[in-house]
Amino acid sequence: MASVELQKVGKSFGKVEAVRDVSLVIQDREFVVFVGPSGCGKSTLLRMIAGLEEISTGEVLIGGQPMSRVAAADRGIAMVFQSYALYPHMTVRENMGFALKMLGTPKAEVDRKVLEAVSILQLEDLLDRRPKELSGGQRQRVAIGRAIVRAPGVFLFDEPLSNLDAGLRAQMRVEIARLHKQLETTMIYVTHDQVEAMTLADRIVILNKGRIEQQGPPLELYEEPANQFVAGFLGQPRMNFISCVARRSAAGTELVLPNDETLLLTMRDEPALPLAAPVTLGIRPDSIGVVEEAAGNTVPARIVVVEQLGNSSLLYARINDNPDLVTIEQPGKSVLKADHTIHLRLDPGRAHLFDKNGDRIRA
Amino acid sequence: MQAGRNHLATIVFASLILAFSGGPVLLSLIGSLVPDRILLDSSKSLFAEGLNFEGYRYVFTGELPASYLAENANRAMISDAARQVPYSLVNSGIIALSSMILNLLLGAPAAFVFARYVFPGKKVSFLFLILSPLVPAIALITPIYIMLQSFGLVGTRTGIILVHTAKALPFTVLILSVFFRKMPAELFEAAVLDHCSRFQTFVRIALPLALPSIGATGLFAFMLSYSEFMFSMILSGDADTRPVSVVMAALARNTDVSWSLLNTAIFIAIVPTLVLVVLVWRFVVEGLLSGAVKG
Repeated sequence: MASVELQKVGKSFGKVEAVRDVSLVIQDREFVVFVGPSGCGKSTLLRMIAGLEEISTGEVLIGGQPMSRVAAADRGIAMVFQSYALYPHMTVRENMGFALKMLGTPKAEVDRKVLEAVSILQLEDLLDRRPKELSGGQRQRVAIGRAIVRAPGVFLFDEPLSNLDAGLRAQMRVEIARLHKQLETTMIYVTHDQVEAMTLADRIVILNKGRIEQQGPPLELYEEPANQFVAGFLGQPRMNFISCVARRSAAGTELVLPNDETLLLTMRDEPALPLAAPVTLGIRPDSIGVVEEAAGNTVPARIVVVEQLGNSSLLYARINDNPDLVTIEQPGKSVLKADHTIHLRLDPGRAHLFDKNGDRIRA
Repeated sequence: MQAGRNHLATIVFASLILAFSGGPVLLSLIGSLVPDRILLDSSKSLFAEGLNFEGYRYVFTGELPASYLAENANRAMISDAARQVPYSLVNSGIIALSSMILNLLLGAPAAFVFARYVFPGKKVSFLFLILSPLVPAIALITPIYIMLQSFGLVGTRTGIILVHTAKALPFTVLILSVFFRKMPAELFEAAVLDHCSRFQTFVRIALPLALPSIGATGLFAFMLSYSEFMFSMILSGDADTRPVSVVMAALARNTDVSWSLLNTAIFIAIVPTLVLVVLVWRFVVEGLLSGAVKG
């Protein structure tokens, strides 16, 4: 059991700053997911906590103790690598017991702890196999088992599921969630997969270019993104961003397209909204309704592509000559075809507005 | 049609390669089993007198072939050097094996450090290591001779072993460092987290995984030493320390040599290497292949 605290942590490789000024407190037993696009510094941050990467500035504390002079092996952490990093020449049993063996733990105790971990992960039948003889999912389980055997205060996962196929990934996701409940240990998990982040995390930390963009519970980030980056990063399909201009009318605040003044939506007065300045309207594909007949609050659009996903359909439509396509998600099978003209109803209650710096404009 | 022509070409080239590589071995085997009087007489068919083991008998027991016991026979054709072949094989075996073991003992850790760690002077020292084989060996003979003489190692197997080790070491380090570098870094990070020191990481993780490549590199060092002639000749003393390459040269230098005897000596010198190569190569290739195929 341990908390992890990052105090103004930074890391540079030569002139490249991979992590800048990151401060973060991770509570004991919390499941925190670092998520972000590739190259955002999330893996570097994790490796700094593990002690595999030197820290350029700042300090990492685990269980309240500063770690700058503590070797990676003595930090009370265990890491699960993306490539599993199992020792190919050792059996599952030897792989899992290796750390304890190197510490000089008596053999009987090593065996007992390995068997304990094996029963948690249902690996009993594989004990004497080598990694080569295991499937990807089994290898990942062994890698997690190797971490469990060390009884760490903090589990670190570095994109553990990205080498698995989609079906297995879903299965292992549930498994990891179950493990967190059962082991009641702090877990820090790095991924670029937002589904993993949304489903596993107590708290998500979204990183971009080495900085924290926003952190908080998954649904809070989804519903209240602090900026355009977070809004665009979480949610699948991605949120639509439409450049527009705000103007005030008798009905409230109206958002129109900048070139031809097509009215997109009308919302209650938004005092924080700068008038006549360019703003970005962000609206998720499931917050756009499609109607056959034009009405006062609809926008005409022409369908460019229809994607049938089985349980839902994605329509890509163009409003007038606006270069950016709008994505609309509809439940079930869509009867609409390309080149149809439809009318979009944008839900003002679920619209997000961002200023020219990408920061959210709050009501 | 195309496939048929390809097939034909494969057979032709394979036969050519076999003729070039296996032909000489076969010729020396035949030559060793046929006495001189038939080898040198074109009017007689090769196996007119059947197989003859007199050459082998002389090499191993010193018993002269019957034909050379005759009054008018030219005994000078029977070179004493042929009698040294069996013991020179022992010498070569000791020298080549020692050189191979020393190469691996020194080369594998060095290669591991070069491949996995950063230290001051790494680039320069690696560059020197790679460039050192470019120095013509002949330029080094005098300094090395004087140096070994001052240590009293001229005329000993130890001297030859040291020189052969030094000659093969750059290749050993270069080849093994490539193998160590190809191993995934995460494996060694996992070892660090599992409380392994650098030495333990090397012994417990890197070495077992590199075993096939270490076998191949060791074999390479063995063969370099086994076939090396110049330093062997200059540094070896009497018959007690002479390796097989030197003895073979002494035998072949004699223009009047008995062809049958020369062939016998050649065949005896080739066979141990052949056996070793076939045995070790099998292990090495299997190891390399099993490592190359991703699970």
